[in-house]
Amino acid sequence: MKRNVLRRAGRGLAGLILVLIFFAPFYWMVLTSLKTLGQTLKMPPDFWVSDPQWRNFSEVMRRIPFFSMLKNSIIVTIGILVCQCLTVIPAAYAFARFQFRGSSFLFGLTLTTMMIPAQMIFLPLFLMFSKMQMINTYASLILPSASSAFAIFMMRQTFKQVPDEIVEAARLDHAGEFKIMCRVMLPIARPTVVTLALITFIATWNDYFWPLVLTTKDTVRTLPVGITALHLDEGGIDYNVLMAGNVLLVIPVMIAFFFAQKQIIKAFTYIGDK
Amino acid sequence: METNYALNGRVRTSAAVSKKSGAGKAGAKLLPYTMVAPSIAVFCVFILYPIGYMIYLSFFHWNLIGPKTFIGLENYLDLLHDADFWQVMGNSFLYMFLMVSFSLMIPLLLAFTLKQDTRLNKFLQGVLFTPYIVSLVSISYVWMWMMDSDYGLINYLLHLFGMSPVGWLSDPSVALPSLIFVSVWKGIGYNTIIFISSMETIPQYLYEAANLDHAKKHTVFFRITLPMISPTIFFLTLMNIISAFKVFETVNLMTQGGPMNSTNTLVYDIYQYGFQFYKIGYASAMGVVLMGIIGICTVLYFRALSRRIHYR
Amino acid sequence: MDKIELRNITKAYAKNPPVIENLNLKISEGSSTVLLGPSGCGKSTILRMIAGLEKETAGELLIDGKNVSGVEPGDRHVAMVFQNYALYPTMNVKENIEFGLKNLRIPKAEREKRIQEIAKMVGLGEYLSRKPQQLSGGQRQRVALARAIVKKPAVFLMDEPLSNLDAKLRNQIRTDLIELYRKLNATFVYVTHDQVEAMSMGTDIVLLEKGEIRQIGSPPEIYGKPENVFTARFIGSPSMNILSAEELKRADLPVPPKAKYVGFRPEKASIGGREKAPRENEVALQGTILAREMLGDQILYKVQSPFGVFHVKSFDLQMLEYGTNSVLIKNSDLFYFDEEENRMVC
Repeated sequence: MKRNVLRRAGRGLAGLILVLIFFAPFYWMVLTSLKTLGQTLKMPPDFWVSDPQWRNFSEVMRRIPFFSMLKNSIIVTIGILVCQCLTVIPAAYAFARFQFRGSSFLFGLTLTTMMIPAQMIFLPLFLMFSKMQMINTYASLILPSASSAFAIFMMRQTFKQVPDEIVEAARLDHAGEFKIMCRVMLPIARPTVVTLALITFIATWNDYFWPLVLTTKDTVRTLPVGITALHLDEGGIDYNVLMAGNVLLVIPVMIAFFFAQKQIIKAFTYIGDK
Repeated sequence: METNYALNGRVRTSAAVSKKSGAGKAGAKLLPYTMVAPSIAVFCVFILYPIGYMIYLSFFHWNLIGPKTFIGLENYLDLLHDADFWQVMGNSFLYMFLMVSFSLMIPLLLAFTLKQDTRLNKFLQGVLFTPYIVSLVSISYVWMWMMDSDYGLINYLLHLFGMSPVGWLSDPSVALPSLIFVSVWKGIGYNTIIFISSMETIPQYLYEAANLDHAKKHTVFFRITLPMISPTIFFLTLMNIISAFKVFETVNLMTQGGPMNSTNTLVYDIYQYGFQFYKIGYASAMGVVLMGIIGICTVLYFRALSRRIHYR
Repeated sequence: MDKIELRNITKAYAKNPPVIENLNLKISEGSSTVLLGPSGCGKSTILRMIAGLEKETAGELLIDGKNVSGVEPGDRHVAMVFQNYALYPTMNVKENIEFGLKNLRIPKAEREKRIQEIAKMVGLGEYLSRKPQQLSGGQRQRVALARAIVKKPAVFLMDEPLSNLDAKLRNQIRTDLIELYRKLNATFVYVTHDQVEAMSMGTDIVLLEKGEIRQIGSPPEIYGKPENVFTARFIGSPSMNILSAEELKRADLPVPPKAKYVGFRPEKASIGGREKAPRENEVALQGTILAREMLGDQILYKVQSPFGVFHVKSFDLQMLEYGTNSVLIKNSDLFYFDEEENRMVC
């Protein structure tokens, strides 16, 4: 009996420590974003603020072209989502349903590209875009992610799980290949499409690397790069303003995570299961 | 015939239909190629071509402005004799080794304790997962702020326990482990949840049988759980190795490779040589080295896979 | 008139040896033809070739006297009911039924009329807006049927449509299918491995083994006049007892000289009852009962005799004691098979 109580208390304490380790940084981020510069330099620090400094947020917008960068983020994210829908779905469908000459070679090639990180090829890609005068265009940010090997792999897996008989029934129902794909298969694959869209949204929204290496001007830069300007432009770091910028960057993803936590976690675990 | 067998409405001719879906027709034979073409084009233009271009450039001396001069393997030979490069390689491999070890061990233990489907565990899984979906930019800055040697939260907490402050990001011997900590912290939730979902696929009867055989808890872990999830362990090892070698954001935002080059890693070095020193050929040669490392790891992974480390 | 004709059809998958070789088969209009056989006998392949879902490797397939090679499945005026129903999971019942009609561009008013008709016919009226996952197995089966019927096809192809149902429902839907067949007046081609289903559903039964036709005939012919050991064994439950003719000859029983096997149906033998010697037109076998199974309206005995083990079905519900009994069979109920396992007509 006593052992049981101790054990439960131990479990509770361990859980609490975990929560602290993983939530404290976010609490600290929000808290700092509401402090004055003086308060951030106070020792011992305050763990609560009585007069939140909302102006830190307007300060963010004063120092960087926040709304134009927000617009860029949205354009790039939507652009990539739309492009991937158009390229991934037919490719996955073809790989799942047809045996054609070279199909396994092309699919192998697709899988190989999954192993190649952006960080490996950014330099030649930058040179390529600059030769084509495409640096500082939305196209340079969207096109490299216009298709996704991982998404093709996942969608193919989903299409393959649909029993052949359903496709055959549709053929007997006088449906052409395009109709089978759009009216029969795609609705069945909807959960996977949503899942992939969530993953792509989060990855694109958070991406700092591509916009950093493929742009040189603020006109097309996205929010993550913009936020870093809060750090780099000033001599010292105003942590309260920097954290306010971070809060703004994190909010959309956090809202998505709050409403679709189960789905997002499931989305990411999909990868590991295959 | 009494029944009306004729199909009402407009009936498309068979020829018109077979163009769309018929097997064996010329149009139909091209269909799959047209469907995969856009994606394959994207991969070729934006992944494969740059790789080729990178290999090509690694044989040249080029500073972006002047002409390209072919110098053969000189870039690679220079790399061999570049002490800074060897330090960078050392940093990268140390980073990889420590990050992968912790990113697997901690989540493995967490997964084993959090796998029961209770509400508390589900909540904790959500908490652990949160950093994974947050931008590395925000995470780098938050930890940079908390690791600040003068005003950071961590040093304040150390002070509370009577310990002297640590230069988390300014002490050359501590900075790299600090960055590793941030990466591990970000990835723990993801790795844990993958382990849990892998453990969930282990058939329950194995545990029941072990129970009937009076197996101890750690025996169950080492003799049943661990071997059954070995494919997942291998998979995550590869994924973590790749993600360790491509580390850039934390280095660029938190330490800029310093202090004293102690956190300079491969990708950051390539970035510096390419975008700050304009030594394109040299940077490309480093890119080829990085590609070699990732390639070898991937090949080893598939070798191991085909040698059947899995039991399913 | 022949609705469907297969001429020298061969089917091989990839480079493997053919599963069907030089098969000839005529299916007459308005018949309910059952393709019966054990799994792997090629019966589903034949059905799928008729539907156009598989392409024949060689030979000609004619529907209404026209070669249909290269004609799309949707254009063959056939409808198919699949074993797993193959309902579109994201469409509700009505959309499932309507999909084929829409693809044929049938006007909306006509579609509505037909769907209402069919829904009433198969009893789905109140389920039209449900998704397949919300339906029971029997209801799904009915949707699959409705989807086929609504297109008013000339030929219904059914690929083991009842095998995913439990026994009770299977019997019920089987009866419904027979009723439907009579009502629709169309040609049915029905694939099954269940001989009871075949006997009750078919006007013609085509018995297949390893891609070859073993026997074609009406249910009474297939049951009463099996042409070979395979048919004799496949039809009937339990299957026909086949004993070695050699052993029987040795026991001085009258057996035609060239016979290799002797067979009789368990339900045509009588066990116990009379201890007397057999009458003139009967043979008697002595045997010990190994097992008794009470099946309600009948008792099944498993008997060990010097000629081998065989079954006897008795409608005398007075259960016999274990021990030695004599089994009597009329000479006219005995079947003789030669070395090639073909029946000898005596």
